Amino acid sequence: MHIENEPGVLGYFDITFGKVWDYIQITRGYLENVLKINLVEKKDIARIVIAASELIENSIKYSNKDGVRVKVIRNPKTNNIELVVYNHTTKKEADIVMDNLQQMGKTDPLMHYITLMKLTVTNKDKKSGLGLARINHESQAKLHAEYLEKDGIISVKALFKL
Amino acid sequence: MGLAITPINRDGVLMKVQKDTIYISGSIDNQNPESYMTPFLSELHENIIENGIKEMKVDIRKLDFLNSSGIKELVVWVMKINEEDENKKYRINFICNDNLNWQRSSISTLEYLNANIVKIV
Repeated sequence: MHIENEPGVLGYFDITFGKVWDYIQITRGYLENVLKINLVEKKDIARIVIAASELIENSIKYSNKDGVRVKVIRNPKTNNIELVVYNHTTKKEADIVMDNLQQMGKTDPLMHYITLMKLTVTNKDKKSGLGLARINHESQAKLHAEYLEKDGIISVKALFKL
Repeated sequence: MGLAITPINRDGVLMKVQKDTIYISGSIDNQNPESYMTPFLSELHENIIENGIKEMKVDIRKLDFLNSSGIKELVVWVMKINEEDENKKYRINFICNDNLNWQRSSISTLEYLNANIVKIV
């Protein structure tokens, strides 16, 4: 089912749920089925689903309030799929994510991912950034983050060229 | 060859060893997969070295999903092998399911850590 939710785009889904880990698997399965129905190729479904799962995990882990929103839309003109995950956070935390993505954009996705993999062995910090690096390399998505200061919400967008 | 490794069956994930093959099935998408993957892989690593084994298969054909926290545990394992003396190092050959597209793309990245240790068969 396609719903025109914004001019020129076809809606897939837009869902908001609580900070409950079990919702990740449910959302992943639902997204996979929606993409299958909408004739997205299997290899593309896999990379979108990986990205969605990693972004939702991050949202649930780091959100400072309840409520995670996931939006997936397809733009038929550009043949892009846009996945956006929103959660509440502080400006300080949002700046870390945005800096991380900026650094990521300056290096080769594979090399960055391998470097983080090696660092993660010695770095005990839970915020390894491995999930974002995985999306950048494996899902071949263009990542972008924005912070809405008045609402205290970060949105992380993954753009997939089909 | 018979490795005495305690199987893991937790949170919908089964990890067990039979002969020369490690079977991992289910869906590794828990928040802290290290709580069961670290002890299993550590015990396995020690046993493999004690028994002088040079090659193991890792069958992930029934593994539906693996999150980055789970990948991190596999990275730790590979790096641990990498740090061993040459005579103790062993190879791990992943058996993937071609119907699960993520498997080859996720595991192939591990080959970049050390292609002499990790291979997809």
